[in-house]
Amino acid sequence: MAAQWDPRRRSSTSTGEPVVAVPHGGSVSEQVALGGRPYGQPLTRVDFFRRMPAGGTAYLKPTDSED
Amino acid sequence: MNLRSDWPDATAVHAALAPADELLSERRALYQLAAELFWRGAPKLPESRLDNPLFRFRVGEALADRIPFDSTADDDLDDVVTEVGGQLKIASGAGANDRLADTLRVVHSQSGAPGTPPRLLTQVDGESFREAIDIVEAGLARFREVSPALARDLLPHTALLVILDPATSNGLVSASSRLFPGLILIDKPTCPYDVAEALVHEGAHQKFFDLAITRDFLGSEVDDRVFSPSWSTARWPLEQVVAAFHAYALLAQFAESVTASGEIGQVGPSSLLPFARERETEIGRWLLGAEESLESDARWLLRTLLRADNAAIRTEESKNSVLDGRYALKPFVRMARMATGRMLLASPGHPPQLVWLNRNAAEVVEQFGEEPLSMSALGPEKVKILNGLVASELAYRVGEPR
Repeated sequence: MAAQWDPRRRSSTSTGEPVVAVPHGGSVSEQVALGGRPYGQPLTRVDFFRRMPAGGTAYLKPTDSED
Repeated sequence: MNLRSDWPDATAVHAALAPADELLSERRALYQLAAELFWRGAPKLPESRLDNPLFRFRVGEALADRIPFDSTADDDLDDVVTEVGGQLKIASGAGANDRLADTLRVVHSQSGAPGTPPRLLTQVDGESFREAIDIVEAGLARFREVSPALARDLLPHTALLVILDPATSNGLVSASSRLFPGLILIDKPTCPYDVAEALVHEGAHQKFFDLAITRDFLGSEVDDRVFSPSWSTARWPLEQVVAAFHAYALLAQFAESVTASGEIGQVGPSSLLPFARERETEIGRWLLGAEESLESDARWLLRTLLRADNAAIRTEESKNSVLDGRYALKPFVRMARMATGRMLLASPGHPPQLVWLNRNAAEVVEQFGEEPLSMSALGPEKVKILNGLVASELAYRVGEPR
């Protein structure tokens, strides 16, 4: 069943190469000021497109805004 | 008067989650890979296309499994935009109203504003448009001068600004839609700080969107709790609450910069700057009571911006359910590697699956060679990652252990 995996196809994707230089986050002193580091997860599913776009944000005058 | 603040610098908070350049590159990589899922033979798309709010709308709807992606649709806006200040694109051409009519109709419907959808102010409107552009340029300049780090942090996430004809804006001060990420609408401004504040307010939502599609923010389970702010009759679902909290945190930081510059008296009559910190705090306190519904990076953002303890944030670990055996990536899974070591996997389906992998998880995927991978060859941490790949329907068991 190794044929289920076709490395030629996957490596042919145009995004298969590094897309960004490697910058690093804030300085050491900034990290100390912010407390702990973001915990993160090994895998993060992108569910946002299904979940979030039920609305938008609108600021209406005078006061009764949506955000 | 002591203008110093011990509130954290939101730009540093953002950078700890994702440096600005990295975040933009990863967001563009997501849209490129998604386009490749839906569009056979998709070319490498230019940044102008990957950032285009109309293109992002069509990709987003396809990722949400609501509207199939049409690779022949025309979403080009290049001939109806003008660049201001070397960075900010503004819809200006005579054809912009036609090109953005559907978008305005959707955003108007979402905004709850009364009446018919607004129309754009463009070059056709002559002196009125020229006045507006002058104020936008001045507002952009004030933003960059008064709060340069915040401007560098937020502006790259705004792809297009549209100015509404005040005769049709029906009381709308500023708006953005999650359906059209990167797009900001503002009423015709009366002063530079109308523009600067809208770029912070709505720009914060654009930043939030990009964080939420590349970092660990909101999962698939919907929390039914709603929040009613003390200043409004609105009732917000959790995802709206966290987005509003983030926007008020950035507005509060901007307010401090404007105050420090001595220009707080120049803000417009609809300004939220005087109330921003108080509202951020009110929303944040409510969110702390609901934080178990946020994923780990969103909890860290919340706690860090609120100056709460952020050192002990942990999420529930999923139970390991994979059986011993040999595993392979599913056919048609596509991947994009980031220079940071992160990786994005995408799989077609209904809905399509997109999953970000950190460096350790990416190493497991790298181990999927031409032969299936034996679970017994992995240590306990990597077995957890394999479990996540199987749960996300990106990998599957192909046979018994050898």
